Amino acid sequence: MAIGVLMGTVPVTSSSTQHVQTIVFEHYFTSDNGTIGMGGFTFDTFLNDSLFYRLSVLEAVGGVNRAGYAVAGFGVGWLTPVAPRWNWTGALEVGAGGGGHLTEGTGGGLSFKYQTGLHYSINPEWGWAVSMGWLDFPDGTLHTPIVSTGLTWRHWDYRNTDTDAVPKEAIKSVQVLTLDHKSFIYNQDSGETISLIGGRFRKFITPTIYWGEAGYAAISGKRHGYIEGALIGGIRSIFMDRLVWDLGVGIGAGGGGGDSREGDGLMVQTYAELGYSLTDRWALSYQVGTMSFVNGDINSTVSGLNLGYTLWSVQGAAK
Amino acid sequence: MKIISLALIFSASILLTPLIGTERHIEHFYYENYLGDNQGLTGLIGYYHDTYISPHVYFTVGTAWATTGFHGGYGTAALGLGYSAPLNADLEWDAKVMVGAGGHFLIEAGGGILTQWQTGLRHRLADHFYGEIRYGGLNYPNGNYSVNTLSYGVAVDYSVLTWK
Repeated sequence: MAIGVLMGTVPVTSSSTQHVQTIVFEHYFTSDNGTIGMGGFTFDTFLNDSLFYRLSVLEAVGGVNRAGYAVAGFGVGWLTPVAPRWNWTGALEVGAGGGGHLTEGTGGGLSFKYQTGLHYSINPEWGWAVSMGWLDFPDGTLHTPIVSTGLTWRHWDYRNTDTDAVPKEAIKSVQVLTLDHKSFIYNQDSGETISLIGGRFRKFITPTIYWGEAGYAAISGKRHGYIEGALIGGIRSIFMDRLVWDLGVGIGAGGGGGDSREGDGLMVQTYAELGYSLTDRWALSYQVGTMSFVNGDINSTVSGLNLGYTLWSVQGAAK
Repeated sequence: MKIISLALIFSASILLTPLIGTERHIEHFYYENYLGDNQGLTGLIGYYHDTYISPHVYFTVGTAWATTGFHGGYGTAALGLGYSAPLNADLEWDAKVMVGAGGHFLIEAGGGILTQWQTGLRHRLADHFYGEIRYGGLNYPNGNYSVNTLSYGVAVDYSVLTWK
């Protein structure tokens, strides 16, 4: 199996579908105990030149004992040019969330979010967005203005396109999804460990360098409801025909285990993997690493098994 | 630079042509009710993404989060395998089994591991757009919480080009 990409600056045809992923930082101006900082992702898939549908997930990285507070949602939005490089954008989302000692604040969990702001295209693929808005939990007491900012990455794939009409501008892209099981020591004093399952989605920008997302949830121990999400980056390659190595770091949020050791949720993680390619698509690997809650009291080594699955997609790039 | 770009485009075209294929995906957006002894946890919104690894078998991954029943913050994330088959030109049946994780301090979810199954029908409403209804079950094997599920929502399907 060869992990690689062909990069080019080429036009996008009308048959390509535009996607914009944003690495989001969000600030809540009020809650029952101060402000809250959130980190996460939005994934926008365009239905035409300006209208998109959105998936989003954000988790607390700042505030007072907000570890584990998270909100996920979906909705619709728009991105309309208003000047060279500048776009007017906005979105309406229905979502669900809770945790982080916000039981009264989030009630049953239903949330509505309204946002509008500006997007600036640094180049055809990368940009920056800033928006203002409002978040409302109608069953709860959390109603707050919000401000969001984030780095945006625009890319294209080809949907419902005849394979006989392969676009000349198509480029090859590689992604690797690993399904992970990992364990770490949650409480150093008592030796309490928990196990998680989840995955990492790697998007290669060179034959070996990738970035992507990771997400996990607890499956054993007594911390059901504990979750993690992170932005990851690293290097993955193959040597001696079938052996795989992978080094990476992640920064994100975790919490929901119900212990103040989680702090405000902000966490960093590192990992090193060594594995074996079972086929050109599947690989089995073992990882060791570290994880640390930056403002909390959980610092542990991590270990676990990973099953990797390689995806080869055809994508476009903009002029 | 232009020559290099053109060379890359040419290389890509040459390499892509014999290797091109398609892969079906379905995205599901739905509302889910927990039925039976739900301990007050009644409704969730969810999103699942199916990636077909053969004409009928797919890999699925997704998440659902509580919206009603004063269990804000309860959520599940699961992955699994499914099978679908057309019943006629507009109607498709599918079934899937999943394993995942979830929890909330108000329910007895054990360590958080869960098993889940669903079966349902989807009906084409427009090109690549469906309405669907699903019935299933969810269980925390190490806890003490088990419900049936009834889900309804919409789905979109599409094929994407792949090069291998």
